[in-house]
Amino acid sequence: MATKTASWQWTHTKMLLSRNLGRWAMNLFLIVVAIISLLPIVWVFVSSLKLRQELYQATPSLIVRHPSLENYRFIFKELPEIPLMFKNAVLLCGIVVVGKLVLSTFMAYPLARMDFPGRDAIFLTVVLSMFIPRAGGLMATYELLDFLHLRNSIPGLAFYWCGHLVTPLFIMRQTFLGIPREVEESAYIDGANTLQLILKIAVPMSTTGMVVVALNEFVFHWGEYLTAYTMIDDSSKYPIGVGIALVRGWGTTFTSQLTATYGAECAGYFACIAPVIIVFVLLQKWFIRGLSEGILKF
Amino acid sequence: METLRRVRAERKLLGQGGRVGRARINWIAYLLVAPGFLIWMLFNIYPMLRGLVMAFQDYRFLYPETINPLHSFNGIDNFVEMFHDRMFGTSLIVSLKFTAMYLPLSIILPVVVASMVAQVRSERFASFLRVVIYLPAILPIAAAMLVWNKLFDPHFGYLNVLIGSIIGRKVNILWLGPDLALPSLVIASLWKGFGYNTLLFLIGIYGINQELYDAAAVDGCTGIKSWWYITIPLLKPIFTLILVLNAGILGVTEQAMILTNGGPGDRTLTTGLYLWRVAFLYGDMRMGYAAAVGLSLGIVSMVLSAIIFKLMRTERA
Repeated sequence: MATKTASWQWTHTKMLLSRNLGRWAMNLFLIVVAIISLLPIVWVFVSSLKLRQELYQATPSLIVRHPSLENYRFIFKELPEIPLMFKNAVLLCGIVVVGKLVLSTFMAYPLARMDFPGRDAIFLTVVLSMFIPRAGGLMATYELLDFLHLRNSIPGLAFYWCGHLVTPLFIMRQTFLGIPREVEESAYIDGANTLQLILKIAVPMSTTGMVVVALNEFVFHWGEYLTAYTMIDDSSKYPIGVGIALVRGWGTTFTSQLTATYGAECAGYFACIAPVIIVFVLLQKWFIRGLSEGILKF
Repeated sequence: METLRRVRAERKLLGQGGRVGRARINWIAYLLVAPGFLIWMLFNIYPMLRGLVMAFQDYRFLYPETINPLHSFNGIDNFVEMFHDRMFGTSLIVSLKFTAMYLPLSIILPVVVASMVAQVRSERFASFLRVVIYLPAILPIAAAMLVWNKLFDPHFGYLNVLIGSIIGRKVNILWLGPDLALPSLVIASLWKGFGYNTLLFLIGIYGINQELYDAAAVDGCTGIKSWWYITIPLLKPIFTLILVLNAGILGVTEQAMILTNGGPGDRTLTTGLYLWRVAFLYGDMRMGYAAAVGLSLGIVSMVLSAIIFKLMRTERA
C-alpha cells in the first residue's frame, strides 16, 4: 500500500516537473522572440550614440563607452533637409488624420443609423473593394494626380490618401452602432436635427473609435513609403519616412572629425522611428483595439 | 403626441423613415455620405479601372499622345511581350522564391508564437510580449529596412558579431552577397511583418471559448493535442484573413527597393520592383506595359491563393 502511494507521488511529481519544464522552455523561447524583435532597434539606438572612434573599432558591440548626442546634433543642424522632412511628415499625417476622421465620421453615421435606399450596397462596395488586387493602380494614380496637379506636393498626396476610407469607415460605423439608441432618440425628441445629433451626441460618444482611427492612420502614414516616393519628385518635399533613405546616399558626401557617416545614419533612422515608438508604447492598448475592431470584424 | 414623436424618432433613427411612413427620400443621409463616397470612388475605383485599361495600351507617360486608349490600344501585345522579356521571367522567379520562403514562415511562426503567448500566466509578461512583438510592425518600412541593411553589413554590422559570439568563433557571412541576398530579404521582411500576424492570431485565440478546452480535457484531450484539434481549426478565419491580406506578397516591392535595391545583380529584383522601374524609372515610363505586368501578377496571385484555399479546405474536410 505504502509503495503504491509513493509511486503515485513520484509520477505526480514527474508530471508537474515536466509541465513546468515545458512552461519554462516556452517562456525562454518567448524571451528569445522578444529579444529578436527588439535587438535591431536597440542596436541602432546604441550605434547612434557612438562617435567615429568607437564605431570603427574592431568589433561592433552593444555597449557604449562614451555616449554622445553629437550625431543627432549633426543630422538636425547640418543637414537642413532632415528637419524639413519631419515637418513634411507632420503636415502629411496631420491632414490625413483630420481629413479621414471628418470624412469617415460623416459617412459612417448615416450608414450606421439612418435608412436610405442603397445604404447597405454602398457600405458593402466600399468594404469589399479592399479585397480586389489593384493591378496598375499606382500608374493610374500617378496619371490621375498629375492630371489634377496634386502630384509632387504634400497636401496633394494627403488629399489622395483621404480617399482611402475603408478602415476608418469601418471602425467609425462599428463605434456608432455601439452607442445606445435611446440617447439619440431622446435628443431627437427634444428637437435636434441630424447634424446636431452627429456633432453633439454621436461624436462625443465615439471618441474611442476616433482615437483608434487617428493612431492607426498616423502610424501608417508616418511610415508609408512606396506611394509617397513615387508621387513626390523633390527631395525637399519628402516626408521623413521616405527621405530617411537619402541619408545613406548622403553618407559619402559628409564627414566631420567627430561623427562618422555610420553613426549619423543610425541617428537618422532612430529619429525617424522614435515618434512611432513613443506613441505606440504610451497608447499600446488602442492599437490592439484597432486591430480587433477593424480588420477582424470584416 | 409623445408616442407619435417617439415612433417618428425611432423610424428616422432605426431606419424606417423612407419606407413605412411617407415615401420620402432622406436627402440628408445622401448629403452626408456623398463627400466621402465620391473621393473614395475617385481615388480607388477610378485608378482600378484605369489600370485595367492601361494594360491593353502602348502607353508611355512621357509621350502624351499615347494617353488616349483609343489611339494607343494594342490588344494583347503587352502580354505577348512579357513572354519574350527575360527580365520579367527572372523577376517572376525571384518573386516566387521570395513568396515560397516568406509566406509559410509568416503564417507558421506567428501561430506558434501566438499560441505560446496565450499560455503565459503572468499578465505583465504577456502584455510586455504583445507590445514588443508588435513593435516592428508599426515602424516606418524604410527606416526598418535600412536598419537591417546596417545589421547585415559584414564589417560593421552586428549580426555577424552576434552569431560569432553565440557559436564561439568569428564568422564572416556576406548577408547581402549574391547567394544570401534573397534569404536576407526574407528575414528582414519576416521581422517586419511577423508581429502583425501574431497579434491577429492572438486576438483569435483569446476569443476562443475556454469551455471547449475544459470539455475536451474531460475526454483526455490536453496540451499539444487540444492545440491541434481545437485551437488550429478554430483559427481558420484568421488563416484565411492573413492569406487574403498577403495576396499581394508576390508583388513585394518596398523591401527589395530599400534593402537591396534589387541587387546584387538582379538577385532580389522582384516583379514588383521591376514593374515599378518600368513605369517610373526606365526610358519612356512605359506605364502600359507595367500595368500589364501588374495585371498578370494579380492573376497569378489570385490563382495561387485559390489553390491554397482549396488545399486548406480539403485538408479540413
